[in-house]
Amino acid sequence: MIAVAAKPASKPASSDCAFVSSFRDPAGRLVCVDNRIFRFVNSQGRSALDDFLSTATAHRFQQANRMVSSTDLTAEEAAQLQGRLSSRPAGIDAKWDVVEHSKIDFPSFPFEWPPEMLHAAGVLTLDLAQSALTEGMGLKDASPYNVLFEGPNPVFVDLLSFERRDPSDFTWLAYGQFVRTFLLPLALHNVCGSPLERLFLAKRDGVEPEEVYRQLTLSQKLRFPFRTLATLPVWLAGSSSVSAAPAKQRLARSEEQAQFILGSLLRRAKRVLHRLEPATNQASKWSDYESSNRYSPSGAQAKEAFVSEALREFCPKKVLDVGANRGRYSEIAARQGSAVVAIDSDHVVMGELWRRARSEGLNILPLVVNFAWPSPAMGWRNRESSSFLERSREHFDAVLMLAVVHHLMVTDGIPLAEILEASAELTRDLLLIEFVPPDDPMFRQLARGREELHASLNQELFETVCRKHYVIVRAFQIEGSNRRLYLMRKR
Amino acid sequence: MKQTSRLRRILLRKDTWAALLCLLFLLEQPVYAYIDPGAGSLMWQLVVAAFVGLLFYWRKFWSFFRIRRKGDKR
Repeated sequence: MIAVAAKPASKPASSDCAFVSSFRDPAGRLVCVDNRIFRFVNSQGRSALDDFLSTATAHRFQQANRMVSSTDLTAEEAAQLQGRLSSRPAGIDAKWDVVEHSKIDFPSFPFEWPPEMLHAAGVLTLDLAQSALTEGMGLKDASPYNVLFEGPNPVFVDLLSFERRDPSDFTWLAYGQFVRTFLLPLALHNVCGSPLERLFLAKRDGVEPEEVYRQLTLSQKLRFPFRTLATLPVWLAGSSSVSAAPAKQRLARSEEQAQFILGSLLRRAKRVLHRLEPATNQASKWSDYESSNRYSPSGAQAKEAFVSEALREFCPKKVLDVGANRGRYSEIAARQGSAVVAIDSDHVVMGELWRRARSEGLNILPLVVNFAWPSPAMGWRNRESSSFLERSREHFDAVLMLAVVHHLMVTDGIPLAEILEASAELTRDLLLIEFVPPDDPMFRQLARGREELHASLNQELFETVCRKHYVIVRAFQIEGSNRRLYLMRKR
Repeated sequence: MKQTSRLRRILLRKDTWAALLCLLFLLEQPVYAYIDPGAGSLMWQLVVAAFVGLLFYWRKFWSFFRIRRKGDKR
């Protein structure tokens, strides 16, 4: 299992910018140096890696960009890397070998994915397990942290997850982890509406069948999907002697039989995963927000034209769309060639955006992130997955904050100066922001009696606060409303 | 009567079933993994594997039978 930590904002001089993660697998460690990803591997890990990389599966998945690439370092490059690491990270021996992997532009984690993305990561994991099985290889873990997303496309990143199988072994030890981290979270989401972020932020290794079983009604216990994912495993594990027994390798009578049993297990897991695919056309509080907003048709068009023109003029390579909703502006940016990270707290709109981005080939990574309550740093020493803001710091050439500032100010009670300061920490250059005055119908609807708090907010004050961090390039009054759009450049 | 109830008690014990399952797979070796295989999920995997393992022989037998029948027809 691997996790990717981003570079820290302020680099401590002595410890350099190296971050070690992926320490659970003793065969290797992942280190990020100067925005490049290196994997140190011990002799066992090296031979497993070489073994896997020589398979047709590795070749095919790498060709299709469904798996990160891996290149050996020359002796000179390895020496340079050692030089960059002021001290060797803990747990890495001097004799360990090192390879470099292609880097995913913006790492994201299961607690930020809409269920559609967790499902896609599960499909990729099983596709790989099935393909590797035909070549005598097996997946030794099956965690969603082995997958990252490049735009809307899942990419398998942990090349050390593969090992040569004992051909007579008919069990897949990682099946339990696949159930805990893919199937049960998706089942809970589908049946009980449990938000994925709650499950993954609370638990490192998914949900245990026992925990799920306790929450179910009798009818849920006896029906799909929980019957085979929770109920039967809990009944079978009831015997303490079995639960405490060490994991044994079970050998079939023939290699052909073992492969038949494993193939059948993977096919069944895939069928369950297929049935747990999140439904389309779900409705949420925010799913028809765009169509119910306050712009006249010409006003909405003019707003799109303003955004489109600004993006065409400055051609930002990386864009963050805060409060993206259905992703109208993310789409405009992606169609003009930007790599977009779109965030919104609603998993339904992010799931829809992911489907659209995937089917239309748009470079958009939709994440369920509430900008007012962003994902924290998680894991051992808070270093296994870095916080959303750490990953985003000065990562983007442009930040879009369209029709979102009033939500942050009123609903979340965040001062305007704080919002502008936070935006300036994320963008390297541009900010496209919409000013919604307190007399706007939506502002009044959100304020619901708290109007007094924002009575002093007006265009002049808004511009004064913005000028602390930005230079206003141009502004535009949206026709038929009192809202104003601004294009700004960071000072 | 007494004997029947003792047999029922034995059959109702989960340990009995676990022992029977273990008997299905006589060849076992310790494995070295760093993830938790999950007790219940592993047991469920073994139960299904027992049936699928039998199905494997059934399929082999069936395909052998079909090949022979085809051969006879020719």
